[in-house]
Amino acid sequence: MSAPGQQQQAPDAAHPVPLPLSMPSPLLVNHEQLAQLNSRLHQFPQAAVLDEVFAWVQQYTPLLHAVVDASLQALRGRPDGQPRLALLLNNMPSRPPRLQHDHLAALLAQDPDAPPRLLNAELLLALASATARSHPCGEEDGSAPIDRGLAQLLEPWAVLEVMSLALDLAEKGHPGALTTLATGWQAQALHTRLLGAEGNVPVRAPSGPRPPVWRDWGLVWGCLVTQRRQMSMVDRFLPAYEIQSLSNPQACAGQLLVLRGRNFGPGGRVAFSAPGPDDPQFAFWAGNSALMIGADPVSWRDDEIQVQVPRWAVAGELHLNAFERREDRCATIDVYRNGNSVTFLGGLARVLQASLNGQPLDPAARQPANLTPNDTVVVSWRSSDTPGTSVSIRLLDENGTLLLERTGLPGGTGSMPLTVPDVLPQRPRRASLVLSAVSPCGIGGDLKIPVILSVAPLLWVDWIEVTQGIQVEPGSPLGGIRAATVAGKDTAVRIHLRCQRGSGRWYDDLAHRLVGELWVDERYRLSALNNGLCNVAGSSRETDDQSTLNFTVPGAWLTPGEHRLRVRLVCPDLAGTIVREATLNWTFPAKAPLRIRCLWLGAYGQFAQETMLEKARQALDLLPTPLTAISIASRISFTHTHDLTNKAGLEALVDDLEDEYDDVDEDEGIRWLALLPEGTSLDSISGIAPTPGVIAIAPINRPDIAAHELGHAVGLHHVNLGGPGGPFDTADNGGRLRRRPWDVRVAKSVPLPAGDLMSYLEPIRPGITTWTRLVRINL
Amino acid sequence: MDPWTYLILRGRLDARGGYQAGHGHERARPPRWATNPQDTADEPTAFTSHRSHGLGLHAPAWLQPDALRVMTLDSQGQTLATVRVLWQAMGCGATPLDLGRLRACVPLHPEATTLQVTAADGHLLFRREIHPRRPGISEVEFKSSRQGLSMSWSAQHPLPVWSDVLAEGADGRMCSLARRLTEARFQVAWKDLPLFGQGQVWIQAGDGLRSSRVLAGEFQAPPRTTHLILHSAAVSSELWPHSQPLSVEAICLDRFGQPHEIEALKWLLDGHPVGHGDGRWVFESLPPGEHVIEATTHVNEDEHRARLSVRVAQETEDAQWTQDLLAEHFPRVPVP
Repeated sequence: MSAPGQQQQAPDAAHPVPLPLSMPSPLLVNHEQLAQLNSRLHQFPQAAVLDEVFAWVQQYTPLLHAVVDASLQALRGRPDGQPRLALLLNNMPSRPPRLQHDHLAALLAQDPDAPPRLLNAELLLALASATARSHPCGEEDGSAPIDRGLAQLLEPWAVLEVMSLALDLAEKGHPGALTTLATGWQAQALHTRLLGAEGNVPVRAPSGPRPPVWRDWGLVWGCLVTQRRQMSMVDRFLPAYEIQSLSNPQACAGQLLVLRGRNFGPGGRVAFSAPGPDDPQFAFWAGNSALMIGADPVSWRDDEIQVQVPRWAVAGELHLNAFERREDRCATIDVYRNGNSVTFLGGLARVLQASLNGQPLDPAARQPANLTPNDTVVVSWRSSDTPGTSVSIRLLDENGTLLLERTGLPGGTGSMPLTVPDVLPQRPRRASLVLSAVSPCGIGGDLKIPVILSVAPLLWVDWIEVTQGIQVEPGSPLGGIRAATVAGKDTAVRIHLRCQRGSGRWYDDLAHRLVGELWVDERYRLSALNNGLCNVAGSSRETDDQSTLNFTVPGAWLTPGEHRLRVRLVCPDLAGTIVREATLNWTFPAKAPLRIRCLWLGAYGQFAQETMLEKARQALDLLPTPLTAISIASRISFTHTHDLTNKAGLEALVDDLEDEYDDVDEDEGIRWLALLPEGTSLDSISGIAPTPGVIAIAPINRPDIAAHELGHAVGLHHVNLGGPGGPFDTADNGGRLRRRPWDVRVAKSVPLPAGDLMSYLEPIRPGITTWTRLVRINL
Repeated sequence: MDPWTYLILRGRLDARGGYQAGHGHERARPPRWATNPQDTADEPTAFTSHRSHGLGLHAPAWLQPDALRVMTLDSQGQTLATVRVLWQAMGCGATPLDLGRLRACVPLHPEATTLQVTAADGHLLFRREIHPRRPGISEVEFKSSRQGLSMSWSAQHPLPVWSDVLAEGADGRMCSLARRLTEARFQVAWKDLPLFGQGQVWIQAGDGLRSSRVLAGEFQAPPRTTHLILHSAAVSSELWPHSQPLSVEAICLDRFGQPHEIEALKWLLDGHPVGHGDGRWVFESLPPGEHVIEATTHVNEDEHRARLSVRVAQETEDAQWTQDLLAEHFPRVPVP
């Protein structure tokens, strides 16, 4: 079981709501509403407008953050808060307005007191209040630059808010408002598109919208603008109030509660905990301002307050909104004082807090706690403790199916051991731990805590394979032999992983959608090739290319000497994200490249030289050589009349090419790779090359045969797995490859059975013996 | 007296000692292989208990290649020159009876009348008379036209002769236009000529051992300039976004077709310079879509340019998710 708060990424984050990036923090923006707006609007043809508005919002987002921050600083009395705010809002980047905001009014049937949908009302209010306090006295009519700046800053959000309202109407079958909004947004562009640039036709261009003023947003956020003169602040220098006792901490609704203490001041309200948004009571009492600002007291003295417990009050923290109203020239200011809060365990019953094995559970935690099936865990709670309170615990799966239930548990503080059910089919799943309380005072809503049911995986890097085609597993008969790699050649790095979920292969020990990156010498970064991710069931398997993280390192990075390979991987398991790192230092010895000149065995001009080079590259991929000495023979092509359907013809062609080679007086060490055109009629022989020699002949579409013939050219004989006569070279396992070769170019393994490159058992790829020979031969 | 020349001898040998002569010829100077030791691999791995670079285990001892000799004799049977052979196994296509092919280059002594190939203990594998005279070539007619080159000649020799048509480029390198002609005429179109610029055409006639060569004429083919070529493994496939760096290599062929050292190559991506380097460049983090890689270099103050198109696949949801997840856990730090 993983601890709550462990680093985590939910798997379904693979399909996030396609919200724009870099949205403001959830403190400022209701992301849920924003996501809903996004997905709802994409059902309508006007969605394109939303994308543009989102882009606009993003443009202003950093500034909005800065302004909110400065506002809060100003309200808290920080000396630099107001100047910062004024500087920010007085120097807004100018941007022509897109909408005639007078017209927005026509779109709305908005309740003037409705709270903002997308923005946090408290912060919006703080923004307005701080702005009001920061502009010069005498300019309260909204004409001050600071007001204009705020109006401009909030313009995109106001448009989004209007869009949200218009969307409501559209979904009820009245798309007019949404259409008007979209048309107004695109008016200028439509005009230009239909009539061309202004002046080309004698039609008056639509008048551009005037810049918005603060008053405009009264249409959108009515309460905000009308209340902007009334503000609140906290006086840190007033003595803090202290609630020392509650006369009846288990009081039910309607009962009198007496708070005793000191420094309560001349007046204020008592703030009870209110029902949460998921609580049906929340909707029932929606619109009651007391939920937000507190209940009016029956009496208020500096050392005692009497208040009737409201019908909506739930068990939880209780504090005072103790303030003193002051009137000054520019505004009416409620000056609050700081103070403590106490726990009120009366009101509508609910569970205040829960913990798992002593660790507090956070319903809003990004990474839910994991419950391991068949483990026994201890769930503890703290709830209302009105006499007669009863607590229940339920575990529900993602579909709401009840997996476990305990009822009749005592209220107040308690704990209960639970054995986590192992639900079939075994797989990680989301679930909810729901704690409810019932008391004679009523029911105050559930405490719903998301959890994960899973046996968390143990994951580790089993081994790192570095290969240029030969795969030798540590545990194989050749485990002690490492296939040499040469510098300057593209090289595959495969990360073999192991995953275990308990001892019983829970969920087949599957680690799903692992992603990784490889750093070469801490300088070059590569992402995994197999679509960026892999799945491991138990351990990476040779027969499953997708069970390893595969990388291809360009040969140009692999200079002679030692290189540091560092792999970093992330497994976004439901039970908690797992991050692993492993490093390997690998030496790439220098090796002079095989020097190849391509020659086309057909008429000049039938082919592209790039094609010849590409075919030569594909052939040299299979040999331990850098691919840095491939070129074209100076005569480029060679036409002949030999009958290649018999061996004598092929051999005569070899004789001719050797004479050509001698006549050209090629530099020492150069070999000609003579490429037969596709469709050339051949005998049973596909290619030919004297052993050793300077000529290798192969069909242009068979790089494996070209590599085989080049193997002959550098001195290798056949490995005897059937086919022509000797002499033969010995090979590990008689030439039958023990493990799948790896095709570095396409990052895929070649299925077995496969034969050594120098055999006739196709597919042919270099085996460990042939590879090692070629590494040691001076090519 | 003619200067000494060299006879190039070819043949194939089977496991019973049967020798099949190949087509030999006469050269004014020995080829490179005749003056350098044979390059062989020697017991390269621990897996090889025995490895033969010669005839293999199935060859009789007297046919081991170290024992093979080619020699020329005078009319009295006296040995004039003896050389070892360059031995090659047959590789693909060999039958169980085939042992291999041999080449040798033996200096032609003016008094040599016989050439023979022997194995160990003087076992004679092949013997042939060396004709005292080279084939004669006369009545050469050579014509260069807009279509190409045409020529005819007459070869005289007591033995049957074959003719080769050879061309020599301005850099002195030879290449054939036709080999083993039994007819004494030949024509070639300019487009099929593997040489460029100025050159000469030679007629060579041979009896399989002795040969002579005469100049037929000169030609002026369309010139070839320095040629820059880019090649990359990615050309034939689509790159996956984010993860696949693109390796590109450049080769520069001079006007004779010989690789030219590239010292300073300017690399461009989609028309924008990305740096200078040698003939190898790795492009990282190419965004999805079509891209044009270009390289330019200057040879003798002339600019040469090559280009290559590659395609990076469109970004998938998985790809973006992968990158976001990695970036979340391993914040990107600029690499110096």
